[in-house]
Order: sequence, then C-alpha cells, then structure tokens
Amino acid sequence: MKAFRGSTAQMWISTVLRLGLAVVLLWSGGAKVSEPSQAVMAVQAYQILPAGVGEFVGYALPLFELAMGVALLVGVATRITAVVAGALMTAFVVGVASVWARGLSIDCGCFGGGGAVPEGEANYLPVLLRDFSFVAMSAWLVVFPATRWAIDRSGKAGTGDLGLYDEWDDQAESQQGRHRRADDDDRGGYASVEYSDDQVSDQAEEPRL
Amino acid sequence: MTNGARNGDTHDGAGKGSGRQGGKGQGGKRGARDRLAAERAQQAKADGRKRKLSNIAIATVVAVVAVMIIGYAWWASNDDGPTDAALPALVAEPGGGVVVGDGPVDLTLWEDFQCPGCKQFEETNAALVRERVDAGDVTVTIHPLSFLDAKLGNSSSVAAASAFGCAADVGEAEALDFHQTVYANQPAESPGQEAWTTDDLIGWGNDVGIEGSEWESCVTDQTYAGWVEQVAKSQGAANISSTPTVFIDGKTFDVTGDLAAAIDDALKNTQ
Repeated sequence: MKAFRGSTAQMWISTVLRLGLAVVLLWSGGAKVSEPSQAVMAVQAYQILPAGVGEFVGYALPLFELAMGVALLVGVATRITAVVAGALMTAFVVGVASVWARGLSIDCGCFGGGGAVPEGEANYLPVLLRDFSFVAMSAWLVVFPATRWAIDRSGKAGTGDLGLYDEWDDQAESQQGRHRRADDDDRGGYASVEYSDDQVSDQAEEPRL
Repeated sequence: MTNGARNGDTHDGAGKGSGRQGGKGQGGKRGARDRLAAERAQQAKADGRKRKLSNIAIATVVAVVAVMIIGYAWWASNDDGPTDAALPALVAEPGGGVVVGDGPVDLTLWEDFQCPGCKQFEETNAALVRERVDAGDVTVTIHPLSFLDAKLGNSSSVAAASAFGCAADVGEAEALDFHQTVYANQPAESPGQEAWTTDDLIGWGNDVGIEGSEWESCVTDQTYAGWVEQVAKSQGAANISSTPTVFIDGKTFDVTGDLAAAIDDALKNTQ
C-alpha cells in the first residue's frame, strides 16, 4: 500500500478510473439534460421524493452530472469531485434497491429515459451491479486522487486540489528535488513519493544530494 | 509536518555525519546545503501561496457553478410556462387539461400523442369514455404532454397537442374525435422523424368535420403551443412518472384494468 501510492501503476489506474467516471457522468448527464420533462418523470418514478423536490432534482441532477463529468475529465478537484460522485452513485444504489424492495416497476432513467414501465420489464440487478462499480471507482479516486493528465497536478505546486491532498503535496515537494532523475518527466518526481513520514528518515539515511 | 521541518531533519542528519568525519573540507559543502535548504524552504513557501490562491480560485468556480445549477433548477422547477398564453375554449385555467362532459366521476388522463401506450389505451377505451361522457357519468380531463418530442428528436407532440387545443375550441365532441383520430394514425416511433405533418393534422380534423381557415391557421400557427408548454410544466407538480397516467377521482387507475368497472365503482361512491 505504502509503496503503491504514487507509483506509476497507481497513477495510471487512477487516471483510467477518473476518465472512465468522467465519461459515465458526461454520458448520463448529457442524455438527461436535453429531456428535462423525462428526467423529472424518471425521478418521480422512484416515488421517494415529494413532487416539488423531485421536479427540482429532475432539472438539477443532469447539470450536476455534467459539471462533475467535466471536472473529472480535466482532472480538477479530483478528490472532492470523487467524494460527491461516490455519494451520488451510492444514492442511486439506495434508490434502485428501494424501488426493487417496494416492488415498483420502473426504468432507472440512469442514462436518459426513465419512468414507470409495465410489470416485469424492470431489471434491477444489472443496474445495481453497475452502480456499485461506479461507487467503487469513486472510492478508489477518493483514496488515490493523483492522476496523470490532470490540472490538479500540473505546474510545480499541486494546484487545484482544494487543499484536500496538501499532505501528499508536501511530501511531493520536499522530495521532488532529491528524487528527480534525468529521465523523469515533470511529474516523475511525484511517482517515487511515499505517503508516510517513515520515508523521511529513510531519506535521511541515504542523502542523495 | 511542514516542508521546513522535514528539510531541517534531513539537514541535521547530514550535518552530524560530516561532524563525525571531521576536517575533510565538508564546511563548504555544508554551506551549500544550507543555502539549498533555505532556497527550497522559500520555494515551498511560494508554492504554498500559489496553491492556496489556485485553491481559492477553484473553490470559487465550483461554488459559482453549483449556485448557477441550483438557481437554474429552482427557476425551471417553479416555472409554469408562459403566463400570457392563449387557452383553448375547453381549458379552464393556465396549464389545465381539456375538459369534456360534466358527470360526477372525474377521469383525468395524462398522455402524449406520440406515446404507444396512450394509443393502446385510446383504442381500448375511447368508445367507453365517449359513452360515459354522453351518459353524464364522467367528466374527462385530458392533459396532453409533449416530453416525447425531446426523446424522439421531433416536434410532433407539441404540434398535435396544440392542434388538439384548436379542436377543443370547436366543441367537446370534436375534441374527442380529433383526439381519437390522431391516436388512430399514430405511426411506430421513429426517432429523428416527425410523426405527422401540419397537413396531416389539418386533414384529420377535416375527417371529423373540423374545417375552415380558422382551424387551418390555428393548427399551422400552433396557436396553443404556449398552453402546451404550461401543461408540460404542470406535469412535475402532478407527480406524473409515465404516460398514460389515469386518475379516477384522484386515485391512480391501472391503465391495463377494466375502466368500465372502475367508473361504475366511482359512480357508486358519488351517489
């Protein structure tokens, strides 16, 4: 775990998950944003929120999904976006499970469409499994928000992370100079960074100035 | 732990090392390390400021976007459509449905002219509804929604709903006739294509005896498009999650059920 954080493998896995989640959110938001009436129907089919709130959510949700999708796509405020996306996906899991438990027959409206469907046409298990995987992707990004091709990590200082991984940045900055090798790219220094303070004493034993 | 502190630790370690070795010209190297450490600390401080600034900028953008989305959604969900829209003669209030009959049982339909389930409901029940309206049992209120336009990428639902408003200007029987005729001619859903033309709608009116330049211009100009938008906006508050949605005296009716029996039951309750 310690060695994994900041490793090339972690960076690339996180990058793939970040972009994957971005595509999911842009797709789901984009499909819904052009059909607000349908989106409102989709929310109301869950029969969880009161009519007025459901209507508000029907209009707001697609836009929030798009905004989060853009944030993840460009890699800005990745961790906080992943926190919100994970909470949203968890809410979807709970919503779908609740619908299933109550025996309602609806289209989840996850990627456009939505609303009540004839008995027997609803198929909740694949939806739940899919949403679970989105929750898992978000959770991974909350734990390992450092990715390549991200605004968060561009420039010399870690920028645009809303201070949510300052600790990690400090590590990166303090060791960047010592660890930089000729073949490292701009972010190569971060790749060899350890998260724990143990690393500091390791470094003290083998100064590499 | 801050950068400064950590850099200090590292330096101390190195310093002790050189002290033990003693007198091997380490003094110059040590001075260079001090300078480097100081530079690094300064750089870290500058980076910290830069990061703080960019964090504030990002937080501001995030907050502004969030407020805009919430504001828009709040506005959109409370928007009732155009306030000055013309209403068909059989519509009592802005955003209201077309009301036909004056019986004691309230039959309320929420549909979309392009919805296959609505076509099916109409085919099964149109004659019955007509009969019960004529018998004075039922008041039927029809809310023509238009959400399928966005889904199918056309504007046929709005066109038909507006034309339905035009038919409702002519009379109750004409409104029901036109309603039934549009459903009878509803094609299979074909995204990206109009389900019918303006001429189709005008012609279907002619088929049920609605004629004249007023009818034609009303359909062509979509005189009641504003009302159709009001109806669309009223769907949220009515908690409609699919079409057709049918209420009998405010209670949801299973659209695959026996409408005649349900109307009879409701009729008993009113007596």
